[in-house]
Amino acid sequence: MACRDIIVRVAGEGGEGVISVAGILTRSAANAAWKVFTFRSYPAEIKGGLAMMQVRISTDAVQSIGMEADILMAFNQEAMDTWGDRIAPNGVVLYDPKHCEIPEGFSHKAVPAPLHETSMTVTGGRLSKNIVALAALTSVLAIPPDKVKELIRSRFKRKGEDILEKNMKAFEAGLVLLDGVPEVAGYELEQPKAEAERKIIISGNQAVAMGALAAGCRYVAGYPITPATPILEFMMKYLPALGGDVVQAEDEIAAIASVLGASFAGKKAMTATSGPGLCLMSELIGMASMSELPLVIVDVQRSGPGTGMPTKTEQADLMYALHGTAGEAPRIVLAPTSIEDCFYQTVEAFNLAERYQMPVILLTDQAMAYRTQSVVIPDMTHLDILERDVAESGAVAGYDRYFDTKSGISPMTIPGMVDGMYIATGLEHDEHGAPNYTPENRVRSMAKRYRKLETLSKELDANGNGVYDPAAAAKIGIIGWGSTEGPIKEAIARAKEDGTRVAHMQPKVLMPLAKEKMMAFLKPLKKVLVVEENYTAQFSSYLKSNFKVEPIEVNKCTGLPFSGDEVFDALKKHL
Amino acid sequence: MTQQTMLKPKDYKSEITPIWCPGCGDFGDLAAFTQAMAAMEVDPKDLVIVSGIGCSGRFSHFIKCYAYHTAHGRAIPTATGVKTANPDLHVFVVGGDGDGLSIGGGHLPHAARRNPDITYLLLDNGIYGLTKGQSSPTSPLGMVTRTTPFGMQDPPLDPVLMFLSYGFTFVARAFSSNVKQLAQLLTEAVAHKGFSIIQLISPCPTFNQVVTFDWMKAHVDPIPDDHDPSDLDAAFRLALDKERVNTGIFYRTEAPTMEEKMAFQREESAKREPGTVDEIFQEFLL
Repeated sequence: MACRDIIVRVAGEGGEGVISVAGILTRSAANAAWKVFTFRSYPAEIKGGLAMMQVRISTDAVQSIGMEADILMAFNQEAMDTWGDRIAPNGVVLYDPKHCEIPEGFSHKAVPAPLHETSMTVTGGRLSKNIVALAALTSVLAIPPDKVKELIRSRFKRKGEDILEKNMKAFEAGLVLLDGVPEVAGYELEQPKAEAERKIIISGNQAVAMGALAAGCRYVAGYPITPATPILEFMMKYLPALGGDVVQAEDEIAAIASVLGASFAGKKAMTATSGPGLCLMSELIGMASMSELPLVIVDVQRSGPGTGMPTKTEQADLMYALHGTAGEAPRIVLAPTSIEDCFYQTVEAFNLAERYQMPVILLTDQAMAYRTQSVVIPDMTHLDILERDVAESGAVAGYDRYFDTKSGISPMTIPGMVDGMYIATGLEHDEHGAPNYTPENRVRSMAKRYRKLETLSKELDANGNGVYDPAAAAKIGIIGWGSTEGPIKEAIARAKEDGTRVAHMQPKVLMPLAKEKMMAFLKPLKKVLVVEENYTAQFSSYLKSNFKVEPIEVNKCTGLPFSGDEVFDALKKHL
Repeated sequence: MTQQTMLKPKDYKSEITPIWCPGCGDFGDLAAFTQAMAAMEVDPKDLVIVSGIGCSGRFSHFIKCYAYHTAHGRAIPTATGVKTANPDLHVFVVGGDGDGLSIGGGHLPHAARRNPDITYLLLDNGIYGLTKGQSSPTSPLGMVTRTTPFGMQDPPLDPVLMFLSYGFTFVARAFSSNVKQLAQLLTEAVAHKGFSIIQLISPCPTFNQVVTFDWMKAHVDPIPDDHDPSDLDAAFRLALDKERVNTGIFYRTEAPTMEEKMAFQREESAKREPGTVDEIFQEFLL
């Protein structure tokens, strides 16, 4: 019987091409219309160390990394020792006997796959062993080899005919390497339905960068920091061709300062960073909030605190994003829930920043930022792109930049506009912008700035932004935020198979909250699980401070994302 | 434009009254600035002043312009963003010695490298005045301040030597009491293509009793007429003269501006990469 859902892990020394194996496998499977979901684990070393990439390939939609591997391709002993005990009951280990031994009493199927030897025999060198591995997996999974060969050809053609030739030979040898081995039977993938929609395969970071371009972002400044750097690199490659400017700043403070300067001068502008960089930026987040300048900050969360585990994932910057800066500074916080959503929430981040003239922090995370997924190509003609409310030039005599309005939003001017001169200052100021520390002005100004969040909160109550699925008559619900959406949905689907309805809420705007909507969701539920990847249950605390609710806290802070099975196991305890 | 030719120095003053102490050197700087703006017929709508925190950081409030009074030490990167976003604007940075050389000192060498067409007036009074008298990176050795009750033990930074070392393309020094010279220097700084930086010694009559107006008048000299501003060695020799405080243009050279480099980046990118977002999607098609 063919498989509908399979997890393949490829592990070996960094630099041996294990990432390429899994990468080509992913692309070939996605090309042939299977659904794919990848995950990468990095060595901390710059070169070398254990690298692992996994791909989950499914006939149906797939929403999380899954749990245990059905197939582990181990290039060396460290790969075996690290990942060998995380194999599904019916799983199999394929290992290179040249560099790896199977420990005594190993409880899973283990099949030697002589990668090194085959590469040596066929090509005269060891460099093609990853292609031998790729071919072996291609045949075990029954992925059409022609699709894979096409990708190998395009990848190696630049390196010359000789190298391409050697790799094609290695591939042919790999295809028959495990022929007739009974232990590898039964892993053939069931053919997926052909898809009508055109898809692109992108990472979360790429989706954020594309969303920014689509939203009209034309200025980006950043400072390299794992795991946000790919956004800056993407922008450096593509944004200038669209007429924008990209600057690698001398530090994160300079990055956000120059982004604010560009925003002041009328450009849609963004910076991308991770937790430590967000800390450095926090003074100017307050400055932006006080002087009411549009600003988008992407925080690709990584494990903290301090330097923490820079290559590992976590959702622990929430409280910092909600409140971090001096004093009380209104800002908007968004949390995309999937790779596709990274695109749309980034567009939303720009819309909200321009509309509400305040910082918008977009919280993604390492796991979502680095994994890739095939998503339907966004339709640019159906995107809603908002521009800031600009006062009419020439009609602004006696212009008050911070004119108090019902919504809290005051029309802006842009340098170059006649009679629109004003001062953007971090000092408390009056409606004109002049410094003013009187109690009356202070109270009015605080209320004016915070009123913008109330305006947005009401809008969210009306329109919503996120998953609010009460699952008719459900007594138990799960609440998550950000990238936990996939695993939560998988857990809820499994519970449904067992006959239990589970409600699901995954708000995408975390500041402000859609209070009415959330209240309505919480009311009928007897039990609520809050699932998040941190130690101190930050979103749960946040909910408790806003609603009468005592959530069951489900937390993970291992540096790895939740799987659907883990969420299901937590849920099962409370059914 | 008719509006421009009609503007007098006083027309560049905003309705906000300066908060500075009577006799503050910054008043001279303000007067010279408005004179220079009027002389160059700068339209206030195209004038942007970015200032940091400190007494001199308030400068931007007192000029009729688009002003951005940012966080302590961050005026340079903020101004860089403004100028990059709209190269047609006249962009100035105004800030003090604490703002520019202490908390914001890390931005200086990078401003020199990037060379955006911005003019920076570093108003140097050798003291933290707004916080009422703490030592600054240019406080003279031995000076007693609230944070150096036993006298300043660390030698002062020499701003002009730093600017020359960092590779700024226009380096000058001025004295706030010589308004005429400063107004002239400002017009030359604005005319310069690239980052122009001026150490503008502006004595603090309230908290600095060492570098006073009298001390300055006894030590200040214009840079000799025979100095060649294109000669970097000569500029260093002048700056190393610790007996006299030379004012005028130390060094002036040409180098690509940040705006030109950004334009290069756009051209190169356009040669290789798609010109629309839809086409970028195509590059990631399965």
